[in-house]
Amino acid sequence: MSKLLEICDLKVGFTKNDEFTPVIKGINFSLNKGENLGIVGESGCGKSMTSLAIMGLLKHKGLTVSEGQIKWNGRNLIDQSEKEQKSMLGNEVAMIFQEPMTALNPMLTVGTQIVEQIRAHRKVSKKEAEAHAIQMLKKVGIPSPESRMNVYPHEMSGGMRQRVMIAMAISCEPELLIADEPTTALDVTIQAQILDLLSNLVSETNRSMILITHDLGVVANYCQRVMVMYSGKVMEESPTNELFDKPLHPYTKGLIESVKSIEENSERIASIPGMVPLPGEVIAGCVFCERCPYATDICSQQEPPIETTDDGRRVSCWNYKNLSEVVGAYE
Amino acid sequence: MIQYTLKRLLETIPIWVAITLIVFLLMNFIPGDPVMQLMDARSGAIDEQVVEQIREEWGLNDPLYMQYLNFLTNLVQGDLGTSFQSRMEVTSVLLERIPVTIQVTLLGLFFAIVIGVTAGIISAMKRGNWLDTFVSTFSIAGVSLPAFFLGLLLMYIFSVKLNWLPASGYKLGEVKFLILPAITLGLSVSGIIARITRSSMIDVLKMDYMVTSYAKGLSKYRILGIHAMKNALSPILTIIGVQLGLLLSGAVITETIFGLPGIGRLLIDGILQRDIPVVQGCVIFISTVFLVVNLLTDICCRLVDPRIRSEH
Repeated sequence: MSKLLEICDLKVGFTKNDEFTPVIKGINFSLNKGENLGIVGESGCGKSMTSLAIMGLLKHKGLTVSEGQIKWNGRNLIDQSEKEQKSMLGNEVAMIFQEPMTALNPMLTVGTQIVEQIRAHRKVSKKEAEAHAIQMLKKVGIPSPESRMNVYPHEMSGGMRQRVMIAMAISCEPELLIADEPTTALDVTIQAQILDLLSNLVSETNRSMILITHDLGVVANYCQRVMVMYSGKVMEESPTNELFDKPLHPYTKGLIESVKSIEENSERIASIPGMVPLPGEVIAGCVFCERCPYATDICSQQEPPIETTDDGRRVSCWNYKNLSEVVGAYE
Repeated sequence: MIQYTLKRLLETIPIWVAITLIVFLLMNFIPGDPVMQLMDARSGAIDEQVVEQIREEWGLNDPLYMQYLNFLTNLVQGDLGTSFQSRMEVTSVLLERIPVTIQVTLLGLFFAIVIGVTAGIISAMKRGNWLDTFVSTFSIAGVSLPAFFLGLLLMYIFSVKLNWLPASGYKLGEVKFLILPAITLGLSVSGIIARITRSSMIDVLKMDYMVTSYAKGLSKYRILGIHAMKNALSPILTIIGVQLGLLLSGAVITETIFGLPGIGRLLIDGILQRDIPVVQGCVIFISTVFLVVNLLTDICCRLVDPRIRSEH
């Protein structure tokens, strides 16, 4: 399979008072054509920043890429011109944001917002673009799409707005969809609908998707591969089934246990003690060491390298081979 | 929308009546007897009988409320009385002067908007950059420099030194007489417009939908001109509305400096000569314009924002 996207040693951070603070501390991963990759982790671990880096939108959040490469079909995106970037965004790669309430412009009708994207990338008349936009709205399951074209975002519900965002994102048939917590702001009853819609749209046309979430359940249902991030680093990357069967990293294990204990109705909900380190906090050794129940001496002294196992999984932990011996560390 | 407009219009009427009352009372409390002033100017010898006759004729002997009611009834019919000095209809004098003031004000507003909004957008885009600092300094200077000083400065540079434009005077249909006064007015107001535009733009640029618009690969013109500007517009419109009133009162100073025969000059002359009907007429005209502009601004803000528009 050919690689659609390759991230090599990416470092991202912000500069304040001439001091550079890293947010993403050197990550590597790749995405194949037609694959769904889930990126999981707690808030503040660099998931969203990774997606903004791929989109080249970091500068709007005051962040910069300090090192590394982002290769899109073999082309490095870091040093592409503004013009190249503009023709790529929304066309080859499209993004769906977390908050449909604020991600749509309140002053423009839904129709205008879809049509302008189509016309930015396709040489079509306004009429054709409108017809295409109506098709897109129909495709994402919006009832009476013709009349919805003239509606403003505030006149729609959250779920409908997110459908509009999706319609907009797929309107130019991008090869890659990046969905940054697309259902976090929505009602639970709507979440599954939106995710089903997204994964159908993606698989139907052999597109790829990066699904960013903190919900492991979502990942289990919609992604073939999962990457677990923590404090701007990759902790583990595995095919989904294997990750749930046998998590290699203590952090992954903790995340799974905390979901499991809810499902099993146990009296005490298992949790990972402590909090995600703040950006700029200097940690010696492994970034997860302080919260890790399996930590040994070496963990707080030396940073673990990212290792590839025999069956092709990647993990960054000194003790991953011995985890199964310790039982119930998260209780 | 129509309902809202009507409602606002009805609300404006009592305010307008209150203004006429205040103007009328103020004029009456000003010390100095206009009839005496007139007599002074004419001969010097004061004939009690003639004074009494004039007072009776002008209705100055009626009780105050009667005078006001008369004034209001006439005003509603478009009759602002007769000038004490020139014995001309105040309404026709005003109508003669209004076009000059409106030309200067609108041209000034044009300069203010073009300079202010452009400078504001540039400094919001180049936040923290030297251009931003330059615009900030410039706008503080614009706000704090008195219009008469700015006017004299411009006059010195462009009329006296460079001899490009006439220093004062007015001829119907000749724009060159209007340029300097309009720039004076425009510059003094553009500073505040630039500041509001800058802060409004900075707020909007931080919003999520701006990131979306970049993520869609739109052109810079669409991102800034449509997505950002439409959202930043309301506060800018409001401040422009308020400033238009300031421009009108600024016209009093600029018209005097540049010798333009507009409302401002008429007002100053009226005050100096205690010509109460003329002063009343000018003040009521200016405040009426102020009210109307405010009304229009509110309606415009509503038209711009679909969220407020659909509330009714």
